[in-house]
Amino acid sequence: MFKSFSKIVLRNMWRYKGYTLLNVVGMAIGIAAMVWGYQTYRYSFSFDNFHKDRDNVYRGLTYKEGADGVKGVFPMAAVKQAQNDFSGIEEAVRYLSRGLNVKYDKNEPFAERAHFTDPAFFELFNFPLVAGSGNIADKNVVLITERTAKKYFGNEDPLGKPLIFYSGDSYALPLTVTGVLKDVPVNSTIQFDFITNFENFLRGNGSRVAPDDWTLMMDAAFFKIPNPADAQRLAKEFDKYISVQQKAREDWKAAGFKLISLPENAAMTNLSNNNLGERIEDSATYGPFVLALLIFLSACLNFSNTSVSRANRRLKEMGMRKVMGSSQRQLILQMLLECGFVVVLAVLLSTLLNYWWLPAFNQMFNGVKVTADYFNDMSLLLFMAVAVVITTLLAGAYPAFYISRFNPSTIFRGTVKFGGTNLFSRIMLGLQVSIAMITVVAGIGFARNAEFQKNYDYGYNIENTIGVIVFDTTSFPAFKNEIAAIPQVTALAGTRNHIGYGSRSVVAEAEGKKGETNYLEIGNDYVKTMNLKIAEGRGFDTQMEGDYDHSILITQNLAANYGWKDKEALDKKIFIDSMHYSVIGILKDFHLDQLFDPLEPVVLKLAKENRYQFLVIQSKLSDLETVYSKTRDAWKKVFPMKPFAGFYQNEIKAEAYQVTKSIAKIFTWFAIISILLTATGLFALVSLTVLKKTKEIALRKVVGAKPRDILVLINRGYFWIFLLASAIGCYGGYSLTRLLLDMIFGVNAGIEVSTLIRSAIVLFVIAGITSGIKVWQAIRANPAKNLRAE
Amino acid sequence: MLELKGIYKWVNTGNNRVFLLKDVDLSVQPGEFISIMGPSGSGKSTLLNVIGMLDTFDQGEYNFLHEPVHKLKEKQRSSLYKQYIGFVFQAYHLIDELTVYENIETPLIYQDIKTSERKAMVADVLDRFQIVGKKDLFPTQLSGGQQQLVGIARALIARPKLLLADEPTGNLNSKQGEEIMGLFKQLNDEGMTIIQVTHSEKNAAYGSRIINLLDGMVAR
Repeated sequence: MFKSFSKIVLRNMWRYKGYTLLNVVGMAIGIAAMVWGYQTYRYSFSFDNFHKDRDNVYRGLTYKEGADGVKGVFPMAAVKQAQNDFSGIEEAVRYLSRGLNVKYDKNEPFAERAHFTDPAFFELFNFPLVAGSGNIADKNVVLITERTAKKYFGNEDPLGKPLIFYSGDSYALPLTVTGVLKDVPVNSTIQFDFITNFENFLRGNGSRVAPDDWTLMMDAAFFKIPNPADAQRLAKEFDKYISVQQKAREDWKAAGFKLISLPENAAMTNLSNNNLGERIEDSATYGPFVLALLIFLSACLNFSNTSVSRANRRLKEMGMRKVMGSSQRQLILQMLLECGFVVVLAVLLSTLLNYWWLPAFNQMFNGVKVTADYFNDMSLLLFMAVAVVITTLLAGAYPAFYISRFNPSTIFRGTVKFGGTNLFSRIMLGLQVSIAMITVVAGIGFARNAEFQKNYDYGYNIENTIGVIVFDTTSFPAFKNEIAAIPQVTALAGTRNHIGYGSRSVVAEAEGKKGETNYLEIGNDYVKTMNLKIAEGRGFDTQMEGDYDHSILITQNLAANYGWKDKEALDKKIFIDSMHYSVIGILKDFHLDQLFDPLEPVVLKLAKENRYQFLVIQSKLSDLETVYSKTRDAWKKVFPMKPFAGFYQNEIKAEAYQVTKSIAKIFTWFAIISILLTATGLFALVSLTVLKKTKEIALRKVVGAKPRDILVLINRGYFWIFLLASAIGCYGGYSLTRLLLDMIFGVNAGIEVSTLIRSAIVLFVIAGITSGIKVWQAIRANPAKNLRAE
Repeated sequence: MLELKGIYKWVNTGNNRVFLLKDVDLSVQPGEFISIMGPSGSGKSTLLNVIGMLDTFDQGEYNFLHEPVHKLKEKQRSSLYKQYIGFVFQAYHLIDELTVYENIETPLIYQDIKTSERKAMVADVLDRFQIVGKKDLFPTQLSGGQQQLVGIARALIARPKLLLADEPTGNLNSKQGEEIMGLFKQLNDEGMTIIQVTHSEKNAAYGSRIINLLDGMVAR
């Protein structure tokens, strides 16, 4: 029986090639999207899943006094002390990083980030070794990843090679490469290229760290706790360290501690003060799945609707099979089998689609590496198998029941009340329209957001600024003088912290209210150079000695937090880091970071030149590239041994813009696909209506109906459902896009009414053309001919 | 072989009840060749469908091979006609996607007959109807007469006890019609019970008995 069915299926598929192709491609896209959504979701929750002991490894977190939520850092001294002070900790590992220059032999140096940890790190975590030894107990060794080995040594054997780690004059450490590790997977919260013994860590000023230093905060502290029941008790017991920590860090007071297991850590997003990586955000974790589900549903609905509307081609066969003794069950089975064939083909095609799409998707976003291993990934294979079954039922069940239920005698009598435009199929079409609408709204919404972000006013001079990171404070004046001599430079300023390149978060208190705010230490010309606008009061004045110690500038945003209008804030006292400061000026708000983050309050304090780490340079936009290359030349002259770390300020815009553009692109593609699917569904239904009403149309024409009347006659059944579905789709698209925008971007364009109107126009025009083609044919047809045929 | 007693079939349109069959009594003995005749709309095809169990009726009794059809469930009914009844249609109703061979084979598939046995049975029938050479052609490649021949072959393949034919020659020219009727006669001579619906006196003459229908009633 199966063989006979298969023959029919294949012959039918071949006979209606165009239709088959359409359904296979539509469903392949739907299934490919589902796999993409599923794998993205799994990828997000695959972080750190490759550590064998992950359930017994805990990360220490710290609550900060006056701040919301828990922080990713942990006081260094507590790590090793806890292991001695309390029971239940088998291993305690410190983990910290710093920027360093790395040089091999006479080659160009690179600016790198090196990681420092305890030897037990490799007992807690699974980072497999490719060559050499994985022991970092020896303080003279460093382990590097394969990628790093390639970067420094090319095809040479890296083992035994010396690397020099240095920073200015304060730090120079020759280390020998004794082991090469496999590249750290992208889905690891712990990322490193160089890893060496913790003892090799030196502070910025070159001093070593004492083991009982309570001022230093770790990027992460890991504890191996064999019995998970101990974790909560230990976190409580850690409270014992609060007083000693607070004494050491008046500016950063711990208020408590927390231990989370590695899986919990991997599941977290948006942990503040977190120097480890994180899984991809919720919007990126669930967004693709939702989108995929929409496309997938649309493809299934399309299959259902086109199958039903084409059912008259199959009726005779169904009737005859019944006469020959087939039961309805067998017919349903046959129809499902047919659908299954299409689905299986679609699944095969979907693997090809994803072969292209997944890498393209990964390319669009940082830190995303979604793959589909169709041969070895059992979960994925199971998902695909379930997808085949569910898709077959979802797409095939309705047509199967619908077509197989007719009585053969009515079929042969030719009196089957043939549907295709019944309520159910209209609802299915409506769903398709809604889905198409959602994707169109999202596509246009994100495209508009991209435009918005491109033109967004960051509140400071973002376009014609160059920045250079100068870690070496001693040579700063020399470098600054070199730059000042470049004729095209219109302004320049040194600064400790720089907009977009990291700021400290401090707790500021005034009017009895405590809250976190960003804290920038800046040079005296910084406000002018960056073109920050003073709304009230004055900027810093180096002539006034008090400005270095007691004065701050605040943004309007911060002033508003305390309920101050611009003028009222002047001379107000704010308590930060155990010091009282008085507000000498109010700045208009500026955006401190990328547009992923919302506008945040900022405090600016004047820093002395010996603390400067950045030089910011201004020129006319047309001179910017020249200035950049001249700056690099000046750097080579002043710091021949150090890699140049310069940047264009507007690079800050790039990532958020790139993300928006990518999402807009994805939505645009999906919108096109769902519109095509909807258009085919609509075309099929309209065709059927025309077919059913051939005689009626002909008769009406004979008695003098105008084309407009025919148009109304044919579209009457669809107009309202289309309108209603569009309204629902508009609302759905609005909600979904708003949700996504807000999840991803702290600052976004939102959704405007014009976006919804545009989307509706797009959809209505396409629907109009689709049904118009068929209607036009119907209107043009010769009525006499159609009546004769009846 | 079968017996209809007081069969009624009707449809309700508004307040009116329109009778398609009205108090039909009919008894058919094995080996009979019956022709049902009557003007258009007199209920000929309806009666044939009721006999063939493709259609239900609203009132009356129907015994087929001593089974009370009116008391049977859908499933039992279908297994009954699957086993004992063959159908031939005016429009042939061959499945376009299947070859001649496959069309003839299909009923056997629904009766769970093994492949090897199916092959032998189909080969037999092809031989007997002299259409071996056409077995790999599709219905659209055949003439009307040939298609009807395949239709009859398909109806007979499962060796039914009763053959129902709804205007089997309606779409054929007179020569082809005569051939088909000759074949029916021959089958009847071999013992097959046949009931046909026909407009043609000439075709009816091949049968052993004529039943005239008028407005759903058997004209006496």
